[in-house]
Amino acid sequence: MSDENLQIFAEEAEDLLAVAEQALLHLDDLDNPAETEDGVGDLFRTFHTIKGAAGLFGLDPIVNFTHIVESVLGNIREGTLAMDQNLVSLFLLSRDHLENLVGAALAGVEQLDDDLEKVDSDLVGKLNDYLGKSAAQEQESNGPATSSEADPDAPEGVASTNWHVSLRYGPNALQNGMDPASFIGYLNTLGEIEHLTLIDDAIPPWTEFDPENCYLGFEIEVNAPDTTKEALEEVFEFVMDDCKVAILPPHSHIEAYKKMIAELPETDMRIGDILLACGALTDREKDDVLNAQDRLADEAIAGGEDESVPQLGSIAVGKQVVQQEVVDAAIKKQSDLKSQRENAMQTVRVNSRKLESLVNLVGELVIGSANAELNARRLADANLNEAMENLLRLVEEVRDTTLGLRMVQIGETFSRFKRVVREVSRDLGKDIDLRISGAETELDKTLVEKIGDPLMHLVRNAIDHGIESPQVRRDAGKPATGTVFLEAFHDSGSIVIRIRDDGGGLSKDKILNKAIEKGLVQAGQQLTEQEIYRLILEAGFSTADSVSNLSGRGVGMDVVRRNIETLRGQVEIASEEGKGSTVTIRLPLTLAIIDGFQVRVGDTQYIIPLDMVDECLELNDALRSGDSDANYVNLRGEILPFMRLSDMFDAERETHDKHRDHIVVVKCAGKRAGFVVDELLGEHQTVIRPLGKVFQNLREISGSTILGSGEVAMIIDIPEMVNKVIASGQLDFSPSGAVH
Amino acid sequence: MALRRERGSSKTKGLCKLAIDEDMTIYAIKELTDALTDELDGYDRFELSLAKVEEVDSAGIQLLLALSTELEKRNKQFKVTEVSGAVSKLLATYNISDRFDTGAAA
Repeated sequence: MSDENLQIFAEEAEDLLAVAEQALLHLDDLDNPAETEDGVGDLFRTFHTIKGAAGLFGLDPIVNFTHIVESVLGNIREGTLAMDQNLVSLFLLSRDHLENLVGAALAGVEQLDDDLEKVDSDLVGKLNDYLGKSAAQEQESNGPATSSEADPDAPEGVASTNWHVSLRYGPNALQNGMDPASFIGYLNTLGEIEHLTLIDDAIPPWTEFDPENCYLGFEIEVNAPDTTKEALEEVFEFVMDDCKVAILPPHSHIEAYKKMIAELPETDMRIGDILLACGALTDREKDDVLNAQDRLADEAIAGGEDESVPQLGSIAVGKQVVQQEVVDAAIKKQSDLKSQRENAMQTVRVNSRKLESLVNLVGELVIGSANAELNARRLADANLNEAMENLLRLVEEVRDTTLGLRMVQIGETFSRFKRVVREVSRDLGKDIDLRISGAETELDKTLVEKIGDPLMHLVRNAIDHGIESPQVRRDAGKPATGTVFLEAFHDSGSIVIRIRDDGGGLSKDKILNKAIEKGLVQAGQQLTEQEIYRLILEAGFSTADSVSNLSGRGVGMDVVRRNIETLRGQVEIASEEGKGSTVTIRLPLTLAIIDGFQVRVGDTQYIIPLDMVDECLELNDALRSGDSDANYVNLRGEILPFMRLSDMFDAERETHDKHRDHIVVVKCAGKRAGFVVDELLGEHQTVIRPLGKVFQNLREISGSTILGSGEVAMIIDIPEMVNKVIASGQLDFSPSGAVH
Repeated sequence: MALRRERGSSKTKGLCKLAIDEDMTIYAIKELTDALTDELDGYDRFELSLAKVEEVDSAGIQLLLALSTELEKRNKQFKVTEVSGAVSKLLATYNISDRFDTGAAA
């Protein structure tokens, strides 16, 4: 098989596995039978589809494994096995294993390695336990019922341990593309075909023979102890219109064979012989069946139609019921397929590398157009400028659309945590509810990928350290079920992700003591609340009294912080003891191109992300509160700390007559600060270029960009700078602490 | 042409040697059947080579079955001399490999 096809399979399987996970996680409320039934149905279909696809590619390990999972699900669907939490967990593990199997297949591994093999046999063993159990249950529930119904004279089930499948294709089967061979091939994946008899009795003489019609019939013995009738019926689901199908389970009652024979077009004797040849019936059983059939016929003749009609009627009704289920399933499947196809039409899979190069090209385009604009302006040609304006607007739109392509909703990442919460809370014996809001918030795909792990850590932390055990919660007068909130929203050019729990909160004293013990701070050092909380983001810090296998080993939070900082984001922690804590992550919306505000300080140009610019003012005496050296102004009754960028970046202060100081007011994470610059140059589309390694530790600058003139401008890291301004002003400038 | 009369066929000897060189699938089956119908009269013995059949489906197999039944009914001999891998595989799937006297060559 070509790698390309395998890739497609892997992608499809990935989607399906995601669906399976969703379905499993929705199975939380097992008391709701309708929902459970839907969920199990979804699961069954997903695994079934994966199996089918894997079979197509000859990926035997996947087929074999999914087959068993599917069998267990089949039993649940039929009601012979009850769904419980243990099964849900087992299916989750199976799903994970399947993911690994798909991964192995994608890597071209033909022989499973020992680890996979072990997991495989482990899971298969557990699943088989359930299959055994369900068989026993079935025996229990069905055994006595059938025997009471059955004719006491008639023998019990037939000896054959095989499924018997009888097929009579209708004339249109071939023209409709329903080649019997493909169905038999598929049947072979469900079990082993022990014997197959082709029945060509219906082929007419040559002169009447229409080669495009199908006249074939089959009697097949399938050895498939693990499969269900439904699974077998599904094989023929699509051909139901063009084929008469009868499926008899192993040890079927002899009556079932009688019914089947009665409905087949061939003579009873011929069928009897075929069944005998197939090994479906023993000699004695065959005689029984045929004699009974004769008796039935005799009775029908003797008693007129009245005798036989109810009997046939009941057969028909019985058959109707079966078919109704099949029809329902078929309709459901068809509508599922339809909606899947609609979804497929809405999305196109694109290699991410192509997208990346598109984004890079658009970056170049933006820089190029800035250059063109500059030159156009110099020429001062009205027509050229107008055309340029149009072009720039289009470039801007192209830029936004291109970046939009990389935007994905964060919901998928969030819903992954449902599972983590479920599993971890079970392990810890805590009762935890995960509430998600803002799942539709979009952010850059690369960000989503990189934020996954840190988020996971934070969620685990919230569960492990944050939420108390149910007992403690009850004693504290809180509901026994803890809640973890995951929220995402956009806020002035950044995306905010918040993990909030209603647990015990952080203990300031405990953190402080620990920090002193670890030598992170000096005893007696005065720290603000924020500073204390930030200590837990330092390396080697953990306040958990007990180290669990989940967290508490002191690695993690500092990794979280570093991960987020490499994404140019910040972490903020707020907490109230006894009520819970909140971790807020702020990330820039995109990584590649932003709208920037261009300013000049001395000879150098700087870019401030436009989303963060609140307003621009002239720094005049009216604003200054008298003291010309003060580093704050009174802005409409509010204190606004500011900093001269010329001081910051060591440039000459301009002092000539015409010079005016401008102050750019920026807002970030609810804090405001001003930067004094020499000139405001206006909006600039900024393609962010990372700084080289040499400048890696330069915190005030987050990157650079190339201007239209070819000059380099530095991009100011506003969040970092705002903190710096506030710190240098020695003002507590949290929103609530504003000084008036 | 899907059906080819091979050298060695002779009306006087009553032997008709045929070969199918193309796919025996539902798409070609009508044409193939008509071509066969034209050959059925005038010979007593038929030999059919399927060595070059690359694709075969149930329609193809059904045609073989119909042909062999018909010739049997007309008291004529029918022998499949050679089969390709695809034909042989499908015959095996349908468990009817022994229905056609495929000769030692197969």
